[in-house]
Amino acid sequence: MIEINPIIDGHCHVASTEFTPRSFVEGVIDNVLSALAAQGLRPDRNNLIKLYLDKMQDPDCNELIAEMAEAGIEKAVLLLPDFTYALKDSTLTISEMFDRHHTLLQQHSDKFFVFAGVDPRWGADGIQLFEKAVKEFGFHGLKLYPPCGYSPSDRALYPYYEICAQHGLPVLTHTGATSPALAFEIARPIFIDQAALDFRNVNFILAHGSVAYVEECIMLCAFRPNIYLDISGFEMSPVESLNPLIYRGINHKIIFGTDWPVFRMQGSQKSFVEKLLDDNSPLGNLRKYELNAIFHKTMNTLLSLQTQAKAT
Amino acid sequence: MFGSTDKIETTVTKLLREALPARSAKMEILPEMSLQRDLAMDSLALVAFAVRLGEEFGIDLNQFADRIGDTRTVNDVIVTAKSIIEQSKAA
Repeated sequence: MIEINPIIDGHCHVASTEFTPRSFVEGVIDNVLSALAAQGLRPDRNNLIKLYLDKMQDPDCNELIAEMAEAGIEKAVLLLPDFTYALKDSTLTISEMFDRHHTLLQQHSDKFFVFAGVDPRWGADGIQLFEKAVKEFGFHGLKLYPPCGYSPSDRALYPYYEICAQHGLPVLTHTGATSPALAFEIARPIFIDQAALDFRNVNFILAHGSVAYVEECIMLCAFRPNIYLDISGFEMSPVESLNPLIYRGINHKIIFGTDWPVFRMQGSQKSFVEKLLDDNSPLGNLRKYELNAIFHKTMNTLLSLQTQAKAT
Repeated sequence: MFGSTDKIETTVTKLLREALPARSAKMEILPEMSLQRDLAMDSLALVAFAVRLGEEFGIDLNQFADRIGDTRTVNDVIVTAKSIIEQSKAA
């Protein structure tokens, strides 16, 4: 197996139903049921929902930290998308969710970074909350979830990008189809383009770049210096599906991520790392500096801009 | 519902084949084969296998889901499935 040290997981979430509305989870399960139906299987929906929710009971991140240790993952980025504007069955306000993530960050500052988001339709209150999270909580980036119903190039997000530019923070945006409770068209990677053009001093990361719109993600990474992608969601496909990405000269723009806890039903963090680092994985053909870039160096570089901004 | 150990192994292997992606569905399944590398099992295929196992042996999906992270090879799956089935028999 290929040896890589350290490993940073660039795409995780806290496994808790406090941060993910029930309607979102039910939509994810409906997607799974639809795919299983193609195989002639019709398992009980409620049983699958229960199974999924059982894997979402780690609000203190103790299980995540244990799995990170077993997998050789030194640090992880915790992403907090704001579903509270689009899905009205959230149990906490976005402000309360920020507070919970602040507490986690204080408890495990050596393990986690936090990228948090606010739906831009919350207006000035949202901008104020994000700025407070950056200045007082020490959050490390902005997380966007366009399927909630906004473009990542929406002008209402520009004040957030101003804050990111000022503090050297990256922006990570979801791409691709998701829970059927939300909109899909707006989740195309190309919608980041105008914002990336207007904010050339802000780095943007396209989440799930190896999954849905691979060619579009490659094009954006190849031609926009401030656009990157993460490979979270690679668990859904045979590892060979990464081939179109890794031979296109953008390996310095690719970031490892697992999307914990989304795939907990299908394997451990260790099993997913091993899947990528197996001797016969396509990544086995990469040179050491390319692997280092994917597994820690690029994310470290993006995160270090915050420290540099503080120093100036 | 439950059969002999050899019969369980045969049935588990049959269920595994039914859950395989089309590209590997006709491959010979050997104990030492890697689920992901050799048989190209993706995350959905693993869930499909777990569902089939639950339906065939009347076991709780949760029991397999909790241990799926430990399975790398066909033999791992057979050993894990046998163990869960034996536990269900004893319960």
